Amino acid sequence: MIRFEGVCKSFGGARAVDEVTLDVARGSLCALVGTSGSGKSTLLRLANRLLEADEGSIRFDGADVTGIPPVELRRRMGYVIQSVGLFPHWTVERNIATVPRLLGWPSARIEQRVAELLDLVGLTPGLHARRYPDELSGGQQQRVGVARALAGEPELLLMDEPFGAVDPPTRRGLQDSLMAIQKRTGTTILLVTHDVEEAIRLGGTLAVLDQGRLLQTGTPAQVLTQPANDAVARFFGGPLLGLNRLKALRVGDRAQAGAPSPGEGVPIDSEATLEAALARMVAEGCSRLPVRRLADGSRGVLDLADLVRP
Amino acid sequence: MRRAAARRAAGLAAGRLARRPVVWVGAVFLGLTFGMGTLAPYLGFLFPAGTRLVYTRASFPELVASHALLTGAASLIAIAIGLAAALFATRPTGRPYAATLDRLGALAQTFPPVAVLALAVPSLGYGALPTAFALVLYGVLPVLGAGMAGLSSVPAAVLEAADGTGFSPAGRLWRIELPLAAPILLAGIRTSVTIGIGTATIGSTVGALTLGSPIIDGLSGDNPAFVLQGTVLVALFAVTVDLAIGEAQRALPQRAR
Repeated sequence: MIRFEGVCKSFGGARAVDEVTLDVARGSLCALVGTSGSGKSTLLRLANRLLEADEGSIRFDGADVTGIPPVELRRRMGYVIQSVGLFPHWTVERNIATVPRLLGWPSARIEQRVAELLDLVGLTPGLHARRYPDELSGGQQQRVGVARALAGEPELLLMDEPFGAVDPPTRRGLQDSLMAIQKRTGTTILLVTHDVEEAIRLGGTLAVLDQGRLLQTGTPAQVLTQPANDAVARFFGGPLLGLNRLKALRVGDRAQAGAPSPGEGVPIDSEATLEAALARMVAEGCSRLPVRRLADGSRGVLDLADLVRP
Repeated sequence: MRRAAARRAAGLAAGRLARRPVVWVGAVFLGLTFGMGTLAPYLGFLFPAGTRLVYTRASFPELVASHALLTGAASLIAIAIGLAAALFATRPTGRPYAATLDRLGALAQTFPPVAVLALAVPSLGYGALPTAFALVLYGVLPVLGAGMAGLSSVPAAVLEAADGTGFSPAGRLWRIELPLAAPILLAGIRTSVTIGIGTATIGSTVGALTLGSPIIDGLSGDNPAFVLQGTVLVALFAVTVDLAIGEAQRALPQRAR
């Protein structure tokens, strides 16, 4: 869907993005992760030409972005930022309708789209549509921000630390919504985050950046079990990397086939994280859990030793 | 029954309208503009015996119309210049000049209006033109200052979101920036216009026909009646316009305020 190739961008002599080559497949979610100053936001803003690359090429759906007028390009990409940036003088529905209006959709279609999106992001049309942004909580504002970004049926959704400004429980709710939305709409998402847990939780592909360079790409499980170098390992927790690995791996990855012995309690779902399994072992004072695979109902067991198996 | 209710509702609406200061101050202003000629002969008890009470060089409606035309035209030009300069100063190309523009505007306001008139007469002649020049010079700064303040009060996140969602620069200005800057901008326009209405009276020293004419004539001819008549009308004029712009500010979309 979007492909960066040998992309460089400097600010006053300092390389913010240094020879990055990255391919984000259609329908996938790619999380750009790294510390602040790693160039992840810069890379994102190169995609919709809020910034222009110094070197290299960026292809969007096969076409070089420099050949597409910025305004047209941006209407084809959703854009969500941490500070949301809702238009304060417009109601929620007018905010969401921004891109459809810019695209000149007929009003009946816009109305229907707004209702659809409010529902998609978990807001109630009757309750929230006519409100103004300052009447909403931070989490609700970001839901509107996501709805606004999705309104024009964009082929690609760009998100710059979208959930960085809300409290952790709200953040988890928004992350769940985002994953559900992606499942429903199939939108390709390129997301920037410095939050390790968020990056792992959203699944998809991780692209680890440091000082403008792309250090590693892969699934959370790959990156956390085989970090490419010290910088990657340091970013994912350093000495606590192992704990984050438990968040990236699923019970199904480590469970062994075999019938659990009777009286071992409620089985754990194979899609649960190893972290959740460990938490249950600690809470229940046991070192073995029965496992059930939701897909086919088959059973297995997870031993404490399985967690630390390399 | 229903008709009575409708009449009561209409009466209430009219009552609400009449309670707005702009309505009754404006009514007094208009009433005095057209009634001053009739009222003046009865004001003799206020002034020393023998004072001429009726101003004859021009009628008061004429003076008000001329005054309004002069300040209106000058204000429109001042608003256009001030707004254009504010827009320029808040665009990427003009941002380096923002401080300079601000200082230039402030400098223009430090000239005493009478001095501006005296300096303008040799090149622009007597009458309305040098007055309009001075009024424009005076009117630009409040608009420029308020325009710059208003446009730069739009949060950076809102601007980034506007760019990111695909507004063209003109679309962003028109739909996002100006509506959000409007309350501050309108306050600046209010100041600019109100100052202009007062300052225009000085134009009569160089021959412009304004409500300052009876004041200047009264001062030079030792006639307090003319001074009072001119002063009362100018004050009412300025207050009416000030209140009217205030109404416009209140009429802005709720959240833009």
